[in-house]
Amino acid sequence: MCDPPAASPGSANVATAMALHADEVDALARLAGLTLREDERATLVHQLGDIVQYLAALASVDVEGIAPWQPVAPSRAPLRADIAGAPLPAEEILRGAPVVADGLVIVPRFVES
Amino acid sequence: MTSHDARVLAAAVKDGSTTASAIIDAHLTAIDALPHLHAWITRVDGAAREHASGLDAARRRGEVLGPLAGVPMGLKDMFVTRGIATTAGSRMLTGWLPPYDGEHATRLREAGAVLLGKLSLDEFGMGSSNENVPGEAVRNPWAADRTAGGSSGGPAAAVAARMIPFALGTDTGGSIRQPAAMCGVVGMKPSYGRVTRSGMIAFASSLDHAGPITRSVRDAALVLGVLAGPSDGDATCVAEAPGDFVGACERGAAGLRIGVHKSALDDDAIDPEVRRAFTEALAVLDGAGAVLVDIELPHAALAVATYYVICTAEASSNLARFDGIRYGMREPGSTMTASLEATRTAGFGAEVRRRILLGTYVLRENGRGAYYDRATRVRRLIADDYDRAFAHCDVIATPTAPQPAFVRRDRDADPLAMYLGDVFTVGANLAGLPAISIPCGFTAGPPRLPIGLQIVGPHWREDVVLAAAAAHEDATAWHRAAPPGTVGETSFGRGSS
Repeated sequence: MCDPPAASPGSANVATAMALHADEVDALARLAGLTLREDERATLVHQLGDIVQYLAALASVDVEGIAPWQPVAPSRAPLRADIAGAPLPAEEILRGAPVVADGLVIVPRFVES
Repeated sequence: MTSHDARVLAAAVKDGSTTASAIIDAHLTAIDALPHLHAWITRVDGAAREHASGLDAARRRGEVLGPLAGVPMGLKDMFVTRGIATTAGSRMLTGWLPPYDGEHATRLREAGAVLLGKLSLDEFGMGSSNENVPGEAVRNPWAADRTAGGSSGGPAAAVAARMIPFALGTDTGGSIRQPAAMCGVVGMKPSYGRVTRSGMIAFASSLDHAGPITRSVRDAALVLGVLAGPSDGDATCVAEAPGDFVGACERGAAGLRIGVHKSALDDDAIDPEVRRAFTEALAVLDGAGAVLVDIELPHAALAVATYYVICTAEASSNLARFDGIRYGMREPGSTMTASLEATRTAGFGAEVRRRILLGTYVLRENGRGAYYDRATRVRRLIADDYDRAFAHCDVIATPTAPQPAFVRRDRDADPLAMYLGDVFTVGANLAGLPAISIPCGFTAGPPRLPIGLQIVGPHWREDVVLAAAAAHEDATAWHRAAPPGTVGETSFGRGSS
């Protein structure tokens, strides 16, 4: 069982989050690495707003002093033997990459000129 | 041949009354006959015939064959298979040939099971209708205008239609049990940590489970026994003694305490025919000697909200790895960011994008405490409710889904309505509990549609879940009904076996 994270669960944001605006959905899309079409944005504003309103039910629960659930207690999780294994052959891994040259994954330019 | 259970087929191969090759040929013919179900994404007929031929040769040499010798099967396309396209039902992984086999494929092959191919699913396991797919949606074998359920719709439809006696599915919020219920077959989600997740493409890591879809409870026990056990590739898969799952099916239900959460059944969203079939299923268990006990799960009404906060948060994190760099597709762009956004926008379907956005929303700096952190604590309350209930009962019975298979595209415009269909299944995922869905009746029709009974047990107690499920199955014949156009009994009568 671990201690609760430093951020304390609050309800203020839930209580006011009854609707999403188009600019908010655009901001989420940027964070998620997605681009939205105009028609898709309008639909998502409506659908995500409905879902967020439904999720607001969680604000009604008193969770003070309740620890987060964990799947398996760490004391029971097994450790595997500290033995080096054979790595997958590089050529087989590269076979699944979209753009490869000379045994390397080719990436798009990531430094702006 | 195609109406037999896995354990019957394996026994026949081992005693020489048939060959693995004959079994595989018969099932490939059954698959050829039902292309309109769209259950398969990839077939490996040649490799399957070669594998079967090798098993037949091994038997002739007097070698000991495994518990699934010569049994044809399919894997939901979330399971990684070396050199065989693995798509997760997404355009994003177009062209990816995994460089390794996942542990599920390995363990099943070592047990003698013969892989016939990869089965359709809602993209990355996100959906309850198998409609979130790049191509054709899987049809329900009982009525082509109905969804097969999801996200393991391909596995459930293929098993129901007698294409294969068992398949492996994944279950994050009900994705094995709900399609099993809607297609009239058995689907089992084990305890979290019982079966490895190594080699299974991640959707929501604290909720994801692998498990069998079969046509009988005893087959589910047999396949679970092959898959269970610790795994070097999954630190959450612990060395808990698996026990005798097959033997547990012979215990009967005498004295078993079946918990029923009556207030959850008052929901108007529950179809009257589902409520009727569930009531009859309880009567069957009562007749088998079980004792019905009223229980309370005070936080059950919060399970769907809790689930959709946690699963979308974990999905938005897990799916960040799909960047168009290391595997799958890449869309061109003048910069890394432009390429990444173009790839993810073109590669992910609408439901996956919706869940990534929702997960991003609940994890952002000013929402994390209100949604994600809060949900992890409500999850604890939900799990504690189950612990308290199991002090008074051995298993809990519910309908698997509030409604039978719905008309395809019926819930396209309302994702929240689709999510609410998970009301009975998500609790077991949140608490990591073993749960099974078994056939328990049909609607009056037309069309006559299957209805599922869910049985949930305490953590690590798959044995007691299987005992209750097998007792119900022994007293009924719902599991023998076969969809129109397939080989098998088509009687809808309850009868006794």
